[in-house]
Amino acid sequence: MAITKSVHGEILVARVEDSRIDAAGAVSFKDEMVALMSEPQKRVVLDLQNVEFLDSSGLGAVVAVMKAYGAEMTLELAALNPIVEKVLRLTRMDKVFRIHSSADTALAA
Amino acid sequence: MFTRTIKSSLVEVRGLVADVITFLDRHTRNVCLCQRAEIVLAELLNNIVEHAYGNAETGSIAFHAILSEAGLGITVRDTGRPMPGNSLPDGVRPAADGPVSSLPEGGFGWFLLHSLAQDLRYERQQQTNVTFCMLDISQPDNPE
Repeated sequence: MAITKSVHGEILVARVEDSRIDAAGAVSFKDEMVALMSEPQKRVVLDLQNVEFLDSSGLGAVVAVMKAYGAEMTLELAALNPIVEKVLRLTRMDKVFRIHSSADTALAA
Repeated sequence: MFTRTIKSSLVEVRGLVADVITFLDRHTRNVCLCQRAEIVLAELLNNIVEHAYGNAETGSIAFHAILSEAGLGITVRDTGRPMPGNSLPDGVRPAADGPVSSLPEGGFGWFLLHSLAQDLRYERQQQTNVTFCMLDISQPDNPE
Protein backbone atom coordinates (compact mmCIF):
# COMPACT_ATOMS: atom_id res chain seq x y z
CA MET A 1 0.00 0.00 0.00
CA ALA A 2 1.32 3.45 -0.93
CA ILE A 3 1.66 5.74 2.08
CA THR A 4 3.33 9.15 1.79
CA LYS A 5 5.06 10.40 4.91
CA SER A 6 5.70 14.01 5.79
CA VAL A 7 7.22 15.42 8.96
CA HIS A 8 5.86 18.57 10.57
CA GLY A 9 7.92 19.15 13.70
CA GLU A 10 6.74 16.62 16.25
CA ILE A 11 4.00 15.27 14.01
CA LEU A 12 4.27 12.65 11.29
CA VAL A 13 1.51 12.79 8.69
CA ALA A 14 0.93 9.49 6.87
CA ARG A 15 -1.25 9.96 3.80
CA VAL A 16 -2.72 6.83 2.27
CA GLU A 17 -2.53 7.14 -1.52
CA ASP A 18 -4.77 4.15 -2.27
CA SER A 19 -8.53 4.64 -2.49
CA ARG A 20 -9.36 1.57 -0.40
CA ILE A 21 -8.20 -0.02 2.85
CA ASP A 22 -9.98 -3.34 2.44
CA ALA A 23 -9.37 -7.03 3.01
CA ALA A 24 -6.97 -7.19 0.04
CA GLY A 25 -4.83 -4.34 1.37
CA ALA A 26 -5.20 -4.50 5.15
CA VAL A 27 -2.03 -6.47 5.93
CA SER A 28 0.16 -4.27 3.75
CA PHE A 29 -1.39 -1.16 5.30
CA LYS A 30 -0.73 -2.42 8.82
CA ASP A 31 2.88 -3.37 8.05
CA GLU A 32 3.60 0.06 6.52
CA MET A 33 2.06 1.88 9.46
CA VAL A 34 3.73 -0.23 12.16
CA ALA A 35 7.09 0.41 10.43
CA LEU A 36 6.65 4.11 11.32
CA MET A 37 7.53 3.19 14.91
CA SER A 38 11.18 3.57 13.90
CA GLU A 39 10.56 7.30 13.26
CA PRO A 40 11.33 9.78 16.05
CA GLN A 41 7.91 11.49 16.03
CA LYS A 42 5.48 10.42 18.74
CA ARG A 43 2.30 11.62 17.08
CA VAL A 44 1.06 10.11 13.84
CA VAL A 45 -1.82 11.62 11.85
CA LEU A 46 -3.30 9.16 9.37
CA ASP A 47 -4.56 11.30 6.48
CA LEU A 48 -7.44 9.42 4.85
CA GLN A 49 -8.49 12.06 2.31
CA ASN A 50 -7.87 9.67 -0.62
CA VAL A 51 -9.54 6.68 1.03
CA GLU A 52 -13.08 6.21 -0.28
CA PHE A 53 -13.64 2.79 1.25
CA LEU A 54 -12.83 1.04 4.52
CA ASP A 55 -14.19 -2.41 5.37
CA SER A 56 -14.06 -4.44 8.59
CA SER A 57 -10.59 -5.81 7.74
CA GLY A 58 -9.31 -2.29 7.10
CA LEU A 59 -10.84 -1.07 10.34
CA GLY A 60 -9.27 -4.01 12.19
CA ALA A 61 -5.91 -3.03 10.72
CA VAL A 62 -6.28 0.61 11.84
CA VAL A 63 -7.08 -0.58 15.37
CA ALA A 64 -4.16 -3.02 15.25
CA VAL A 65 -1.80 -0.16 14.35
CA MET A 66 -2.98 1.87 17.32
CA LYS A 67 -2.51 -1.15 19.60
CA ALA A 68 1.00 -1.72 18.20
CA TYR A 69 1.89 1.91 18.93
CA GLY A 70 0.79 1.38 22.54
CA ALA A 71 2.13 4.05 24.85
CA GLU A 72 5.00 4.96 22.49
CA MET A 73 3.07 6.74 19.75
CA THR A 74 -0.42 8.12 19.26
CA LEU A 75 -2.50 7.53 16.15
CA GLU A 76 -5.02 10.14 15.05
CA LEU A 77 -7.27 10.12 11.98
CA ALA A 78 -7.94 12.93 9.55
CA ALA A 79 -10.20 13.67 6.55
CA LEU A 80 -12.79 10.89 6.71
CA ASN A 81 -14.83 10.29 3.56
CA PRO A 82 -18.49 9.20 3.96
CA ILE A 83 -18.06 5.39 3.98
CA VAL A 84 -15.03 5.58 6.27
CA GLU A 85 -16.98 7.85 8.62
CA LYS A 86 -19.99 5.51 8.51
CA VAL A 87 -17.97 2.39 9.35
CA LEU A 88 -16.25 4.14 12.25
CA ARG A 89 -19.52 5.55 13.57
CA LEU A 90 -21.49 2.29 13.35
CA THR A 91 -18.76 0.34 15.15
CA ARG A 92 -18.33 3.19 17.70
CA MET A 93 -14.65 3.34 16.82
CA ASP A 94 -15.19 7.05 16.19
CA LYS A 95 -15.08 7.38 19.99
CA VAL A 96 -11.73 5.60 20.22
CA PHE A 97 -9.73 7.78 17.82
CA ARG A 98 -9.05 11.49 17.85
CA ILE A 99 -10.52 12.58 14.51
CA HIS A 100 -9.67 15.76 12.60
CA SER A 101 -11.51 17.25 9.63
CA SER A 102 -8.24 17.45 7.70
CA ALA A 103 -4.51 16.89 8.14
CA ASP A 104 -4.02 20.67 8.26
CA THR A 105 -6.52 20.91 11.12
CA ALA A 106 -4.64 18.16 12.93
CA LEU A 107 -1.37 20.07 12.58
CA ALA A 108 -2.95 23.17 14.09
CA ALA A 109 -4.50 21.20 16.98
CA MET B 1 -30.46 -7.78 -12.82
CA PHE B 2 -26.77 -8.36 -12.28
CA THR B 3 -25.23 -11.84 -12.40
CA ARG B 4 -21.60 -12.86 -12.33
CA THR B 5 -19.43 -15.73 -11.13
CA ILE B 6 -15.95 -14.91 -9.83
CA LYS B 7 -12.98 -16.82 -8.46
CA SER B 8 -12.68 -16.74 -4.68
CA SER B 9 -10.05 -14.02 -4.44
CA LEU B 10 -10.02 -10.71 -2.59
CA VAL B 11 -8.91 -8.93 -5.76
CA GLU B 12 -11.78 -10.40 -7.80
CA VAL B 13 -14.17 -9.36 -5.02
CA ARG B 14 -12.90 -5.78 -5.39
CA GLY B 15 -13.66 -5.82 -9.09
CA LEU B 16 -17.12 -7.32 -8.64
CA VAL B 17 -18.06 -4.87 -5.88
CA ALA B 18 -16.94 -1.93 -8.03
CA ASP B 19 -19.03 -3.12 -10.97
CA VAL B 20 -22.15 -3.73 -8.85
CA ILE B 21 -21.85 -0.24 -7.35
CA THR B 22 -21.51 1.27 -10.85
CA PHE B 23 -24.62 -0.66 -11.91
CA LEU B 24 -26.52 0.42 -8.80
CA ASP B 25 -25.50 4.06 -9.11
CA ARG B 26 -26.51 4.18 -12.75
CA HIS B 27 -29.96 2.77 -12.01
CA THR B 28 -30.82 4.45 -8.71
CA ARG B 29 -28.62 7.54 -8.19
CA ASN B 30 -29.10 6.71 -4.50
CA VAL B 31 -25.82 7.55 -2.80
CA CYS B 32 -26.81 6.14 0.60
CA LEU B 33 -27.92 2.84 -0.93
CA CYS B 34 -24.66 2.62 -2.89
CA GLN B 35 -22.59 3.24 0.24
CA ARG B 36 -24.47 0.60 2.22
CA ALA B 37 -24.25 -1.83 -0.68
CA GLU B 38 -20.49 -1.38 -1.03
CA ILE B 39 -19.91 -2.25 2.62
CA VAL B 40 -22.37 -5.16 2.65
CA LEU B 41 -21.06 -6.70 -0.57
CA ALA B 42 -17.43 -6.43 0.49
CA GLU B 43 -18.13 -8.00 3.89
CA LEU B 44 -20.29 -10.79 2.50
CA LEU B 45 -17.91 -11.74 -0.32
CA ASN B 46 -14.64 -11.33 1.58
CA ASN B 47 -16.04 -13.55 4.29
CA ILE B 48 -16.57 -16.30 1.72
CA VAL B 49 -13.03 -15.90 0.33
CA GLU B 50 -11.42 -15.90 3.77
CA HIS B 51 -13.56 -18.37 5.69
CA ALA B 52 -15.67 -20.58 3.42
CA TYR B 53 -12.69 -21.13 1.11
CA GLY B 54 -9.95 -20.38 3.65
CA ASN B 55 -8.16 -18.04 1.19
CA ALA B 56 -7.65 -20.90 -1.27
CA GLU B 57 -8.28 -19.17 -4.59
CA THR B 58 -9.66 -22.30 -6.21
CA GLY B 59 -13.32 -21.87 -5.34
CA SER B 60 -15.92 -19.86 -7.15
CA ILE B 61 -18.58 -17.46 -5.95
CA ALA B 62 -21.83 -17.00 -7.87
CA PHE B 63 -23.32 -13.55 -7.35
CA HIS B 64 -26.82 -12.56 -8.30
CA ALA B 65 -28.60 -9.27 -7.59
CA ILE B 66 -32.05 -8.01 -8.51
CA LEU B 67 -32.91 -4.34 -8.31
CA SER B 68 -36.56 -3.56 -7.66
CA GLU B 69 -38.55 -0.63 -6.33
CA ALA B 70 -38.03 -2.07 -2.84
CA GLY B 71 -34.27 -2.22 -3.12
CA LEU B 72 -31.49 -4.59 -4.01
CA GLY B 73 -31.94 -8.32 -3.39
CA ILE B 74 -28.65 -10.18 -3.23
CA THR B 75 -28.05 -13.94 -3.47
CA VAL B 76 -24.56 -15.39 -3.16
CA ARG B 77 -23.66 -19.06 -3.62
CA ASP B 78 -20.39 -20.81 -2.86
CA THR B 79 -19.25 -24.38 -2.36
CA GLY B 80 -16.82 -23.75 0.46
CA ARG B 81 -17.08 -24.87 4.06
CA PRO B 82 -20.46 -24.39 5.73
CA MET B 83 -20.98 -21.67 8.32
CA PRO B 84 -20.15 -22.95 11.80
CA GLY B 85 -23.28 -24.61 13.16
CA ASN B 86 -24.92 -24.12 9.75
CA SER B 87 -26.11 -20.70 10.85
CA LEU B 88 -25.11 -17.06 10.45
CA PRO B 89 -22.82 -15.56 13.08
CA ASP B 90 -24.66 -13.05 15.22
CA GLY B 91 -24.17 -9.35 14.79
CA VAL B 92 -23.09 -8.19 18.21
CA ARG B 93 -21.06 -4.99 18.10
CA PRO B 94 -17.54 -5.65 19.43
CA ALA B 95 -16.94 -3.66 22.63
CA ALA B 96 -15.31 -0.33 21.81
CA ASP B 97 -14.57 0.75 25.36
CA GLY B 98 -11.84 -0.20 27.79
CA PRO B 99 -8.10 0.25 27.36
CA VAL B 100 -6.56 0.46 23.90
CA SER B 101 -4.75 -2.86 24.43
CA SER B 102 -8.09 -4.67 24.70
CA LEU B 103 -9.77 -3.10 21.65
CA PRO B 104 -11.14 -5.60 19.13
CA GLU B 105 -9.34 -6.03 15.80
CA GLY B 106 -12.03 -8.22 14.31
CA GLY B 107 -15.66 -9.15 14.59
CA PHE B 108 -16.79 -5.96 12.86
CA GLY B 109 -17.85 -7.67 9.66
CA TRP B 110 -20.94 -9.51 10.83
CA PHE B 111 -21.95 -6.56 12.97
CA LEU B 112 -21.83 -4.30 9.89
CA LEU B 113 -23.77 -6.87 7.84
CA HIS B 114 -26.52 -7.22 10.42
CA SER B 115 -26.64 -3.42 10.83
CA LEU B 116 -26.79 -2.48 7.17
CA ALA B 117 -28.59 -5.38 5.45
CA GLN B 118 -32.18 -6.44 5.85
CA ASP B 119 -33.52 -9.99 5.85
CA LEU B 120 -30.07 -11.56 6.09
CA ARG B 121 -30.45 -15.35 5.71
CA TYR B 122 -28.25 -18.37 5.18
CA GLU B 123 -28.95 -21.94 4.06
CA ARG B 124 -26.76 -24.93 3.38
CA GLN B 125 -28.20 -26.66 0.31
CA GLN B 126 -26.38 -29.96 -0.34
CA GLN B 127 -22.76 -28.82 -0.83
CA THR B 128 -23.64 -25.18 -1.43
CA ASN B 129 -23.79 -22.18 0.89
CA VAL B 130 -26.59 -19.82 -0.07
CA THR B 131 -26.60 -16.39 1.55
CA PHE B 132 -29.35 -13.92 0.87
CA CYS B 133 -29.95 -10.36 1.93
CA MET B 134 -31.93 -7.31 0.99
CA LEU B 135 -30.88 -3.69 0.94
CA ASP B 136 -34.09 -1.71 1.35
CA ILE B 137 -34.11 1.46 -0.67
CA SER B 138 -36.04 3.27 2.05
CA GLN B 139 -33.82 2.21 4.95
CA PRO B 140 -32.59 5.29 6.82
CA ASP B 141 -28.89 5.93 6.58
CA ASN B 142 -28.23 5.78 10.30
CA PRO B 143 -29.68 2.59 11.80
CA GLU B 144 -28.60 3.26 15.38
